[in-house]
Amino acid sequence: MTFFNDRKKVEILIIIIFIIAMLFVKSGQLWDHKIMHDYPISFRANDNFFHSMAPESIKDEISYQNFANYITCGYEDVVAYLPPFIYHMSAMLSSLSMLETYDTTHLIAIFLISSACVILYFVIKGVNKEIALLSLPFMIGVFSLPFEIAYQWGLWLFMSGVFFVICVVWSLTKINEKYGFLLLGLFLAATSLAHFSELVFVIGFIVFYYILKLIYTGKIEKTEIKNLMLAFGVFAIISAYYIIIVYFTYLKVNTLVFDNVEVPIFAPTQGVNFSNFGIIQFLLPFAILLGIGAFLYKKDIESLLPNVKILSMPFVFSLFMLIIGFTNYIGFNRAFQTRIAWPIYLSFMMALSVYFVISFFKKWKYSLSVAVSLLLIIVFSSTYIGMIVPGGIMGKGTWDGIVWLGEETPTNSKIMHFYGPTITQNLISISTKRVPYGINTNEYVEALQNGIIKNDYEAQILCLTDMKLPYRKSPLEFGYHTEDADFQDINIASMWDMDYYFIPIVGSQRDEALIMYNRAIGEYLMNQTWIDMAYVNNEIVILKNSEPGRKT
Amino acid sequence: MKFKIDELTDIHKLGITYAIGLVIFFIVFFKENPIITIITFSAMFWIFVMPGITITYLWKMNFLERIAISIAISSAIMGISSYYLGLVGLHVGSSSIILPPLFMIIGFLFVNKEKWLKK
Repeated sequence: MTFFNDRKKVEILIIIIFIIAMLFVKSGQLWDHKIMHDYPISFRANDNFFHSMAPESIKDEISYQNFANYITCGYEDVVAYLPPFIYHMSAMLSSLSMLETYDTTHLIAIFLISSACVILYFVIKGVNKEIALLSLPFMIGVFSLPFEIAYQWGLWLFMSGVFFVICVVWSLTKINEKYGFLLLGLFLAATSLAHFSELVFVIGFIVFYYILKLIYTGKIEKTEIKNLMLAFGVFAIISAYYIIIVYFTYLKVNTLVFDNVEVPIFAPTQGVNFSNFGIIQFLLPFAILLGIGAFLYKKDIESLLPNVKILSMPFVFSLFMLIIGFTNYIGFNRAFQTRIAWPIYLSFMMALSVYFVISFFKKWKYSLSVAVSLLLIIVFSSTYIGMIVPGGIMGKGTWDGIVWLGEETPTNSKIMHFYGPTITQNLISISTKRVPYGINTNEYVEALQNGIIKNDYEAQILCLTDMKLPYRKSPLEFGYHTEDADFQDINIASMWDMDYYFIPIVGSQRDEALIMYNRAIGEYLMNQTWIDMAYVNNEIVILKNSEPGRKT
Repeated sequence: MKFKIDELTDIHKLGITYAIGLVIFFIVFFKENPIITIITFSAMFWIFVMPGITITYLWKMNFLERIAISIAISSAIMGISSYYLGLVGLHVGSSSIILPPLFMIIGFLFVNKEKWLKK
């Protein structure tokens, strides 16, 4: 048993087991235990596809100064405003490996989250080694789908933001060491380039932490204040360019409405609540009570747990992220994303409760923490087995059609998408690397209900207009294409103006009528002498219009 | 023979970390072609671990923590520099090859600068 007496070896072993469990249940299962896939699997929303396509465009276009034109209604000058961090990492990994960007982006997101857990482990270890070990299984958590949607709905920008939030917290523990300010500045800058809302939250945490520290200890050292200021200086220099973009897009275009937000906009039925923690939810209020007790009756509580500084940075961090998770009630819908990371953020509180409870019955030893931690990792991981299965909204045939369009058609081709996955999750359509148009679904459904095939259907351009298609007039002045007088003219076109028609011919039973109608319109188009079949497989048909603009 | 972690050099530990990481990938992605797994993991190690490893020697920490923080620093410096270098025309493909050794050298020089300045 000499191995188990060596704490270093045991620590390494537990972290290895933790990483295997984390990757196995959250990524391995979802990916059918493969890294490389023929098409995007387990993608269930727009975000998955967009965050895979953006790195692809970086690989093709060299610079992420502007978005590729097929993302932005054909405009060449729209400033790339979405956080660049994960797109660049994904493009680099894809360049080095043989993987497509839809595989690398997903892989990086889960890798960063697993790394974040290990870094948080070291933050907690600074408070208490036993609690650090106990916190690991709570980071995996008991299976509940709302906690998993970040992986399946493609909230990868958020996941990279969570990673850097944890890095910032770790760097705060080193702020008074030599060059410690460099770490904090670097991680703050990286957070801004990873997910801006996480930057806002983590700066809020730093302020919250130092206010509590000032109240609790009555002082903050001058050198600490100096280092913090230096760190924010480093952060400002590194991220100034991107923060200007954020100012003219997210901050200027979005208006904050301080209203109660009941459900997450990205997945209305999958909002995280306390009940999603299952049986372990009762540990949280207990930890909060401990914290309040430590604040009010410092000596009494500390005598109960002599080896634990309850009101430590990990506790304040957990508490702050718990509060942020409830800010949806004052209008921040990003709070719902924060809740998805609660198993990681609140792991210290959960572990503290377990530590406190067991302390009453047994004197703590490192070996006891190892045993409990291992047991919980196995128990919690087992709740995931079979609960996450590969699947998603993309079929191989549909993806093959999308790839064919990207490789075999002229780059200025206009593609019209008929009812199917590229319409219901319309940002999938940019994966063709061609400016996409979608059939006007209202007109389409109305014609279907009337049982007629019209001699023309409206094609509406599909692109990313959430920030009004911003472009630079000068370094500190932006314009917005959606406010241009001619924007509506390029927004809508006739079916006959298109170069290609992307027509799904299979679908779910629920969509049977719509698919039949797709087929009928396809046959109508094929009856025209200037329209031919260009590509077909068991899921889709692509037709080529040799004379765009010609009508029946 | 007893295996003692403290007797290994950090270069050995880095090699062992690579091997352990690869084994973890083999376990998690057991249905994958081993060649793909090796290439993917090696590429990840190259851009997520190596660039930041030398600079971590500015701070005192155990090797396991050093690897975790190296991932954090590597991710930050690679993501940030690839973005800005991309704006001035350097393709990500080139960044992924050039930047890791560059940051390793910069880190090494930075960590050792005081030692050399004293001489």
